[in-house]
Amino acid sequence: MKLISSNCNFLLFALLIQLFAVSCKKSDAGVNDQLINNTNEVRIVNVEEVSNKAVVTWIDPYITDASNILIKDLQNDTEQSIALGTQKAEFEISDVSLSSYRYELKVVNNKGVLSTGVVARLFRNWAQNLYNRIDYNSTAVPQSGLFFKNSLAQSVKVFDVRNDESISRITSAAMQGIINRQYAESYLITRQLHYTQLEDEGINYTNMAPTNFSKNNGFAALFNEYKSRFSKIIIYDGDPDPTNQNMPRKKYSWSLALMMAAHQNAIPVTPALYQFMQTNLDLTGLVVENIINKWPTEAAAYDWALNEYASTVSKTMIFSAGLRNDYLTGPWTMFDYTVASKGFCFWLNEDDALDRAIMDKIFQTLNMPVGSSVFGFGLNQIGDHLNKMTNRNNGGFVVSDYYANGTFWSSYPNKSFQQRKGIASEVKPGKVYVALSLSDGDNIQFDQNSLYEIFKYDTNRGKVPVGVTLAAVLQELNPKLLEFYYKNATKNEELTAGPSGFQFIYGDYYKESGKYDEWIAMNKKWLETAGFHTAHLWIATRDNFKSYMDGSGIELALDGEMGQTANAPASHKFNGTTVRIDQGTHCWTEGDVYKDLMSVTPSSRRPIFRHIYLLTNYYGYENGKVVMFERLLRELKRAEQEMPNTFEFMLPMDLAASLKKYIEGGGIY
Amino acid sequence: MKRINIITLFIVFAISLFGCKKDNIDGPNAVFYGQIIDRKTGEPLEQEISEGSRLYFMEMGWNNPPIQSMIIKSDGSFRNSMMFAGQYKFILDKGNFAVQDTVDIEIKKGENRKIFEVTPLLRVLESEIIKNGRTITATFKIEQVTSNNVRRISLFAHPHSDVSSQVNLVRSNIDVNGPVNSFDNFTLTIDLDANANVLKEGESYYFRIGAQCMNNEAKYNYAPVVLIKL
Repeated sequence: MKLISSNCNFLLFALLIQLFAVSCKKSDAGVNDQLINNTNEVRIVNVEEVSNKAVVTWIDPYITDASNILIKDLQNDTEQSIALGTQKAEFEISDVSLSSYRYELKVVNNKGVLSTGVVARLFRNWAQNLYNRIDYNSTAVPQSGLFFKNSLAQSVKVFDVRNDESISRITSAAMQGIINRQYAESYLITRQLHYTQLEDEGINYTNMAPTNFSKNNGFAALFNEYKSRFSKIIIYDGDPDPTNQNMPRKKYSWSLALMMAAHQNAIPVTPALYQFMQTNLDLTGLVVENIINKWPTEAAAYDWALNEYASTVSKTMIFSAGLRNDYLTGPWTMFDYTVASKGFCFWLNEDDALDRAIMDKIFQTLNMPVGSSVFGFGLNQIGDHLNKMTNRNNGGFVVSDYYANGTFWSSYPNKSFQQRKGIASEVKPGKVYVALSLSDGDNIQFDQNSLYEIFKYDTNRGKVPVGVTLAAVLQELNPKLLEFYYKNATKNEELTAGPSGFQFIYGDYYKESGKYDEWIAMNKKWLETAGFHTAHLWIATRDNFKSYMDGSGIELALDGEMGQTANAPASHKFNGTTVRIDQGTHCWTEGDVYKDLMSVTPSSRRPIFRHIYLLTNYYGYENGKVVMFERLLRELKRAEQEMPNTFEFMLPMDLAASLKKYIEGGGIY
Repeated sequence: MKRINIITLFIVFAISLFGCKKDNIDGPNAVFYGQIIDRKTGEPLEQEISEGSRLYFMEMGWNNPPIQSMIIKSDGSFRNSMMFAGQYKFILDKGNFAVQDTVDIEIKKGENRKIFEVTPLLRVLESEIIKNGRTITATFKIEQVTSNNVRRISLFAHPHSDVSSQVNLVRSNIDVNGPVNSFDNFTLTIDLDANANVLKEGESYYFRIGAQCMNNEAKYNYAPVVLIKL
């Protein structure tokens, strides 16, 4: 027993020694607390400019040993110590010329130790750097030969058709195509902006007095002025279908009437409009043809048109032009260009087997060359998907349903443009570098309407760097319109191609034409002389996207397939010339930009590059009013409050140049 | 004899200590612990213990190091006492917060503390859960913080405080499948009579509001649990 007891004492002693050793070892190491992030910093920092003072507010840190907050004006190093609970400081803004102001907030704890600090920023301009624009006039020969052109007229007669019936307005547009075929003599007003655009260009015009009938006085005035230009009236079936009041009875009738009008100098009218003309206008000398029952089937109608017009229609322009289900409330305006250019017209759904067979026959018969354009919009619910049919047949989309007075603007000589190239900024880990673009500029009706209004009326434009998508084809179609953007762009706007370059295509579908490489080569030329360094591409496999990068000569290719870039091989992300970035979130409404920025977390290992796509007609408008930049500024400020000094904004081409420099320096992308 | 016994015992003890040291590589020598907190509010980010967010990590210095993980507890804290000092990569890409870029961390011997500041995918705001007669009613708002829309909002009940989407006796759901507005009020209810077989009168149960976004890997975001006696 004594032996056991003795042994136990010894064992106990040995164990105590071991425990002591272990505990010593532990306390030697201490807590590796350097890994903590910003948890001891102030939160939700905000800086407002009030009466030439920067008012900094924040929420005190939640740590319990904070003593006071030290705030330094980093412009002049003046410092204030603010007691906890005050959560506010004011600084005079002494140098009003700066575009942004920075204030550093450090938390002092009870032992006098300072936190790392948070930098809050006040922005007058959100660009990380602002660079001067260059003279946009280029000496390069502009591209040409793909679109209808006419000549400037000595005087311009303006007809206001805003109060006319919809069915009359589309007829006026078709008539305008014949009137303007040689000289751009007539101009139709379907919205106030059309007057504004004449005035913006300093064009002298004569307002033509409307007639005094009970309706359609713009149309009647146009008819009376130019009656001698027409030889025929074509009555088509445009009355609403009794079973669907939003659609015409025969969906092909208007398309066929347009082609006949173009070839026979005719006026396409519905029976109701014809009745109005008979009652109120002098129709002497005009032959009348009723085509309502001219063909037994839709297929027969298109067969007839191919037989009659295949050899005389435009070789490079075709029109998806019909009466959509909003034709009575929002009639299209592009029909003047349809008629003037004598393009083949169809109104068919590529998802419908019968329609598709007709489309196949049309494209096989016409055998259009690479670079041909499909105007209008698709009949399918997703109008863009017309690309699936047309791209295989060398047709690239030039969406244009509400493009107006195309035959007037096409009379101006083609023009080439230039823009400065992207300039690289220093980038560093912990930051997120962001470029934003306004969408839909590949659609020329956006260029003429929504984007135009944003450029003209958004008083906050120029405070945030943005890419503005536009159609490179405008250098031939409407050089004045492209010049409007160049003339009015601030340092904070880069003019870029939209999806997918000089035309809207789906890369994978164009590849099926066998002419994708030819299209890419053509795209390069049109983008160069439009002055664009950035373009978007949708629906393209990695390899098709790579071909686009390699052949388009651009600095930045924005990838419309979400997430594809992340998984692409390095050579598909940067080919030595062109950088590829995901096009990013499509923002519809306020909150979407903020949410996108919150979706990305800065990395301590590398800078992050991001692009955001602002949907012009949704994000940019509220109840018909332009709110694009007002809304954007609110969102950027909100993001800055939540993640201060994290996001840096730059133009797409500058983002590309910065990313390129970063990759060439061995950075991880 | 007594002396021999003591010597023998000492030798055996010494050998056992020596032997242990010689037969094994060094044991874990580091503790890694900390918390996942909401970048904006500074509050711990509520989690679920089963099938919830995990902290994935790789110990560098080995060929093809395996990806290991540690559980993030309901209160957003984590602790692993069986780590080795060395270089690690930590990955937070499958949780109820915006995906983080991989973080390189040197774990030193002893204790290592790390606070991960994250942006939650959703925030459950102004939550209230009350018993009104034979109905449990939860009212709340949802802040959709990122671009990921909301898939579902839920109210869970369970006798354990780890009540969640995986640990519950009763759940009430609304499938949202779209964006939410931070101003919208949501209400979820549990009918106690209809669930009387599992939620016994007189017993206490934990209730918790959860919301899940549409991101494939997304876990639920939660409001704090509420204990209610039925």
